[in-house]
Amino acid sequence: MTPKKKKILITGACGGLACELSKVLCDDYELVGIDPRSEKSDTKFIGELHQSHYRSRKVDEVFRKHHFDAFFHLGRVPVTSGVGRNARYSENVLGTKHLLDLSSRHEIPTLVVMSTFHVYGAHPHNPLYLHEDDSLRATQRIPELSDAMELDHLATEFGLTHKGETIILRPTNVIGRKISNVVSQLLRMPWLPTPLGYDPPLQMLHQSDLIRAFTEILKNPQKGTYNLAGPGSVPLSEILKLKKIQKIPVPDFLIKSLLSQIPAKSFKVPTYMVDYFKFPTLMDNSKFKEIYNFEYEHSLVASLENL
Amino acid sequence: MNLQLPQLGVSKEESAKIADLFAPYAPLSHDPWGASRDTLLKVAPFVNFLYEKYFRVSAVGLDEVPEGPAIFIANHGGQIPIDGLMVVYALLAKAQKNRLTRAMVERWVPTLPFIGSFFMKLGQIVGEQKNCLQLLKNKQSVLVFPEGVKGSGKTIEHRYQLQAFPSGFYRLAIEAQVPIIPVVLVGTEESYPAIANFKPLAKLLRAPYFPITPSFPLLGPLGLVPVPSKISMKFLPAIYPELTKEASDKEVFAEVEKIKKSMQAAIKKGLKKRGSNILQGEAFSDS
Repeated sequence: MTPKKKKILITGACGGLACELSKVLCDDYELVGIDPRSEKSDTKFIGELHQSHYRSRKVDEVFRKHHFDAFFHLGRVPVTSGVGRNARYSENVLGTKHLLDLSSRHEIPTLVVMSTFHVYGAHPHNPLYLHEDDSLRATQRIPELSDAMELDHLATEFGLTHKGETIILRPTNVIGRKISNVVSQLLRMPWLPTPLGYDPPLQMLHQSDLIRAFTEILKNPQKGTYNLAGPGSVPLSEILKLKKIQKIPVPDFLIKSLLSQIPAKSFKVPTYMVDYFKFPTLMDNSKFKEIYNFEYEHSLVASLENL
Repeated sequence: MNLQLPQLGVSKEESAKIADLFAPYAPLSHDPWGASRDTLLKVAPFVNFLYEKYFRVSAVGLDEVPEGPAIFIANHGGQIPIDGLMVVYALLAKAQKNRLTRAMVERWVPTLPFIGSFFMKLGQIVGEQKNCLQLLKNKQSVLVFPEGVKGSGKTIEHRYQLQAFPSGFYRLAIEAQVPIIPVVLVGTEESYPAIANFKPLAKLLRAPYFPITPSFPLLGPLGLVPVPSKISMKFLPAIYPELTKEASDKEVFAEVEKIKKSMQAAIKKGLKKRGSNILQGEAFSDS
């Protein structure tokens, strides 16, 4: 008789990252996914999929039905989704609170929450390298990120009392073939307006390295908040050169309106992204590398080529 | 007429030395703190011209500077940071065992288009204690002007009189366990001899000071060209802090004061040796 597989819950199950993660984990784990969105034709979640809002009672039933050994909360509705502010808040903050309460009630031993490096804010006074205990100042300049900030705070607070291991990840720009976040989409364009006179170094993390980080956490979960910064940093101008993207330098006062006009399919470039193309938001990720004995497999150049 | 144009070029050896600093980061041409090999190599000929031909810099004790991370502290003067540029360039291109030393820039510099990115590519960083500590712990060196704008904004009658030294650099050296290397410069204060500080205009421009020199603003932009005074610099012996993190402010200030006095004495000696010949006088000798 084969031993019973451990069960993992994954939110954001219809997203590119969750689908890729499901491919890696499906042989060894029984996977259950939840997503308010319906499944896309080009990405497929391997496992039992529930289409539901995170606040819905249907989610309670999923938790009652399964006894999860781990929960990956990857589902955060981004500003780029076009979803209204109220609906985003409801999903990201109230939905996360609901999921965390259920995780506590059902005593899920390992909880991984995917936050974002955006919570640090792209601020000219940021230290050269941001550590996990640095101030989160995104909302000082970018009110649109209040839900992302609150999600991070909720998870941090939950981790203080959770009996199991709560791991909060703050990854940098995640890029990859199946990823449809704003940076990945911008780097697939033939041209890009950039803020005139600014050329900050950016960090990039390949989707495969992020998935490897998830699997390492599953092997030996160690609670805490961790930056995931990728293997190095490259100035924006060099990234565009590598990707053969035509750079269109635009004065500061024009770029926000120009960016919002980019005719991109199914996503809207949030104007706050301009700040992340102006001021460095570099993270130090020595904590994760040390605790999980982790090394990145994809170099920055390889990650960009493989986009 | 035999007109000889000034040589702008940097020797192949010096270019190679600069490029070698970036070898560990290949295939990238940037280091993890944003400094760019290509930008440094592009700027080097111009800075080399300033160093070799315009200010005819002499650097005593440069090759005795111990290897490894260090906090360089220097006297500040001359309205614009030519002194910082010359110290950084000496350590970058002229030292046998060269390094890219990070000078500190003001917090508002990254907000400026072009200038913020350019300074970052030259390896300069915002003068925050946390940044310095990160760099030192990563075996990088930093250059600090303890006097800050009070030093650089001095008028000519206060030249070479060191202003108050705060204790931050000393505490940083204790924390990072690195030596402090004092550098004294003579000749920089005469490059922009400010006879007055036009405070109302400085306030209006939100600048720390607005210098009036014999040629600026009288001659307009031409008045911004610095006097080609000869710059002499001397690297004093490294100081290894003996105090611990628990040392009181009084103990730290006593050590800082000792360093300041030794620098002031070296400057005084240098000025005496140089005399009034600001264009050619050498202030320091190897002995």
